[in-house]
Amino acid sequence: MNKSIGLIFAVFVALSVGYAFSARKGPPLPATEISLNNALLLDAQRAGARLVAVGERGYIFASDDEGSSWQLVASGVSATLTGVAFADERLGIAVGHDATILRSEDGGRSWQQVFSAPDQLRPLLDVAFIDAARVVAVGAYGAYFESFDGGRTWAERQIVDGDRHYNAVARLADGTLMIAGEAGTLLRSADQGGNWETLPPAYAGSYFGILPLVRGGVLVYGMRGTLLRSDDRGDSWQTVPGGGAGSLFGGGQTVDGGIVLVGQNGLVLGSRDGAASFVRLPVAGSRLWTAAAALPVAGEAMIFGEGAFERVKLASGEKQ
Amino acid sequence: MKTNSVVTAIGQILFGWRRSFLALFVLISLALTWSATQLRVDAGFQKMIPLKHEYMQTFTEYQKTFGGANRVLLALRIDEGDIYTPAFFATLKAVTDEVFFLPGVERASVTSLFTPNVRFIEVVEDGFAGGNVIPADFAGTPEDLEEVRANVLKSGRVGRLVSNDFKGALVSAELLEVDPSTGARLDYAAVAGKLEEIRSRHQKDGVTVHIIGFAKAVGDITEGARAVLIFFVVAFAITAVLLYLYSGSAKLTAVALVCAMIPVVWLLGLLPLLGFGIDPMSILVPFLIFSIGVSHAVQMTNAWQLEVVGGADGLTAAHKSFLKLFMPGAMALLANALGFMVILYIEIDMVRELAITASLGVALMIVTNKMLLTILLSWMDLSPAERLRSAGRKHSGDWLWVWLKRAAAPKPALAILVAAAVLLAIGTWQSRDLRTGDLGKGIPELHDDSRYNKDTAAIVDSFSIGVDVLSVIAQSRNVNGACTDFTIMDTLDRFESTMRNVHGVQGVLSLPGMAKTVNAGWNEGNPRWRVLSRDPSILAQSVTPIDTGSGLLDTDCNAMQIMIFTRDHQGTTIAHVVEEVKKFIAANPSENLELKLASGNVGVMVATNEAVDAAEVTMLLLLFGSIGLLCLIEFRSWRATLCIILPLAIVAVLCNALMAILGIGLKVSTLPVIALGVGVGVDYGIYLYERMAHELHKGVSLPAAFLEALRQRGTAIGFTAATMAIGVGTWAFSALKFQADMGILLAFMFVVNMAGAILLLPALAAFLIKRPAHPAGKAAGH
Repeated sequence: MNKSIGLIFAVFVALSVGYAFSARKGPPLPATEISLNNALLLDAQRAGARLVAVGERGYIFASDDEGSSWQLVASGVSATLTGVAFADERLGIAVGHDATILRSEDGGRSWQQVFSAPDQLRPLLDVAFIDAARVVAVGAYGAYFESFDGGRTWAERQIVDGDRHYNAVARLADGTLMIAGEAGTLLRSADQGGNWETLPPAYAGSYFGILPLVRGGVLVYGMRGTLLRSDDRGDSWQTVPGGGAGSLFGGGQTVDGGIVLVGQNGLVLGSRDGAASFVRLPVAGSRLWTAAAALPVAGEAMIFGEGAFERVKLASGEKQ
Repeated sequence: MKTNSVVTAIGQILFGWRRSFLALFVLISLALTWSATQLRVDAGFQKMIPLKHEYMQTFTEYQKTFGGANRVLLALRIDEGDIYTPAFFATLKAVTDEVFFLPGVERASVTSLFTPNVRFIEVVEDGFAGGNVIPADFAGTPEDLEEVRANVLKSGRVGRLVSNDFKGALVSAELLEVDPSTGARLDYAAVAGKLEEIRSRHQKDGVTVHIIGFAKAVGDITEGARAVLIFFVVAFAITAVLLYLYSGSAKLTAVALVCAMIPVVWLLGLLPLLGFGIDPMSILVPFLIFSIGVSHAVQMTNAWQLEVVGGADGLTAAHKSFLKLFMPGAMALLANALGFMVILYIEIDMVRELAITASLGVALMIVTNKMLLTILLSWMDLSPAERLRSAGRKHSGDWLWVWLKRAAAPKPALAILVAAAVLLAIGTWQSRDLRTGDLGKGIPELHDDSRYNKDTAAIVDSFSIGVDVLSVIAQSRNVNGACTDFTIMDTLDRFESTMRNVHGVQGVLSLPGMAKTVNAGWNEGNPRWRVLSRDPSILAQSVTPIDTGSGLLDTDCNAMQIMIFTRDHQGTTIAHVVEEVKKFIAANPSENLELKLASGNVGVMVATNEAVDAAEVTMLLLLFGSIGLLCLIEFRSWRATLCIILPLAIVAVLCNALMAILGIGLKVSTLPVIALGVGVGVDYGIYLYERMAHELHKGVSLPAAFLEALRQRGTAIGFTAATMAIGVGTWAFSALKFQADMGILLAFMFVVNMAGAILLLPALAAFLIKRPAHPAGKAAGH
């Protein structure tokens, strides 16, 4: 009896020691997932109720809850995506480096590659729908691709002489198409992309974006905060006050026609007066911002950039 | 018995020739004292890392190529407002100039807003425009300051030279370890001193100076290691007082102290002869040896005192004590040495030197304490008054022993076992929270709240600068210039992108990432061009502006370094990051590209943690195996062995639990603690059990045998535990965190092992030990 108590104790000690010194592992750490917070995003658009953002290494993120949560969507490519556009809440096109063109029929939830030409060394930089069937994609060295079947097949065309980079393409409210690019390049088409004319340069530097304004007119923006506005389809341009602090790389409009422009060194500009003037919005940090998309709340937009997205609010009280 | 006849023979020779032996010992001591003066302090970085580990071979292989980023950073921080004031810029300029003239500074590398290598570049309509961030005609006027404010933003140095909140600015400089003109090695302590001078000159008027960098760390660690000498003096003084109070005799105190110091001197004298130096870790060994020396001296003087009080003269008493204590003493020391030797299993040079040094010290003690001390005692005698006092002392503590002897009676014994089991269960549960690696912030050698680590935290918080970095080396094969090979660069870019998303990673710096930014720069700064070109000539254009000084590529661009900055260096975090790197490597096999782990301070930590983890269980098995075997040989009884080993095992678990509770990680410095603690702790059990076994052989009951053992050795054991705990406990105040950790844990081990020996050992014996069949049969003759 006595002895067995001693032995039981010895066994208990042996087991405890064995367990105490067996391999220790802490709680498992979260698995590795590509997160929007670590990616450079380059463009973002709405597809109905969904926000879709594209960026480096072919990453596409989608949010169905206005940015509260984001899901990485399989794009099937690893080329950096630079532009995205939606014809409606279902049909969308994304473009990028390696002349990659992706197509989605379900509002950006899944994508199929429909074109790619890595050997040409020509990135595509923007895309715009003319209507549900006709789509235009533009890019470096005068790249101009068009599709007449809703983005299923694509053909390339030289639209004007020269090989300037085309940084942006947009369709104005009246149906005019406009391309903005390197060294003051501005092109215009009055016949849905059939013929293109070169507009006389209004600025020597490069434009990075075109914003057809909801309330009429068009805004182009670019290097060193250049901000030009035209109310006559590009025949004449006026400089808008409030730019100049740094290059602007992207922009968007709120549901009520407010304008948000974003760029380098944390630059965020806002206008509630239809682009008559801009004020700098206080957004913390000196991040690089590249894109903006509307939120379903008046005066609010979501801006995107290097490993970040942020809700911004245009100051109220200004004249509508 | 054979062993006893050997001991008797040794005793006869020793005491027959005691004068010659004494002369010999004095000569040896003199020679080794002289040799000890040659001892050099040797804090080689190489000794701290497991060089045989696969990662560390990569580390060593590429060390020359990518260099140690041997940089010092001085951050000036203003308490109120922002940096754009004339006074702040005057201070920044003064500090920049002073850093320029620091010894060992590579002057071209000095970087601050004031140095010409800091420029801003902006893209303008017809190309680039740029200039110095602080213009040459800067005079500190409000207009000048506004211009600088704008230039700082354009320079893209926010987060690197100017803090993210614009309340601080940085001066950084690279140090050259070897002076190119003289070939002399840089004296880091001197640089650290100069840096401290800069701090004291400029830290005023609302400006705080933070300084970090390898040189400063080495300076602070060296200073911390020096302070250990003070602890030695304190430990010595406390021990001396306790010894005097205990023995009541100044003579005995002096003899015990001298005999405890002699092995320390011998050891320090032998180290240079063996080619060893002393480093911040092994500097602790002299304490340990001194403490163990005192404990054995106490056993010996105690035994001698008992003999003298019993009526013997000095020589006879010494001889008798020698015969009584040589075997258990030598056994205990052998157990100590075994405990220290198993540490050899850890493949880190610094730990191995600790093991060798400590084992050697203990081995020396068999000569100094068992032989030299008894010889010295043989010439001594106690005055009648001292005898009386000693005799009184002998009985003064008796009530305690009488009370404690109940531990060997069945009922209290059962209670003790139950209490021990409960304690063990709690300890086991707690010990599961123990983590491998350093758990603090900043450099692990220093306390979290040390000046250096506070400075680190201040700089990390306000600048975009990481201090915990894991480097992965990308080695290309059969490729001419991997930097312009799209496939390789793209793979590395994907690697960077993947690692950026790993939990615990703060940021990643790699050549592809930098090249992408350069490419965007060539394209009007447009972020949509932040890509790697498939065209080798364009890719070359993106890579060329990146200097090899960035540490991201070697000169012919066959090897690149990917720097992964981790959020902290907790063992679990960095092990996870390494695991994810391995996953990427496994998923991306390539003939032309090999990703190799690992360099950077986190690389070293991961390798060290892996080595520590790998060594732990084997070390413990060896430890308990060898000590168990020793006990088995000595006592010829597995029951006796269990009585001695089980308490030690429980205390080992409790030590782990204590580490978990105190937030001390299992690392190079704390892994040996259990071995040291068990090696020393086994003494108590051996001394006690040896006496008990003798009594049991005489046929007395277990409680009676235990009481007799306590009477003869209990005082010495209690006293020993106290002096040893105090000796190592003083380290708790060390400026070096690992010394403090070791001190606290060892003190705990010593005290709790003592408690285990006087409470648990008899309780276990009550259940495990059979009464001898033949009372007083073959009592061991002595």
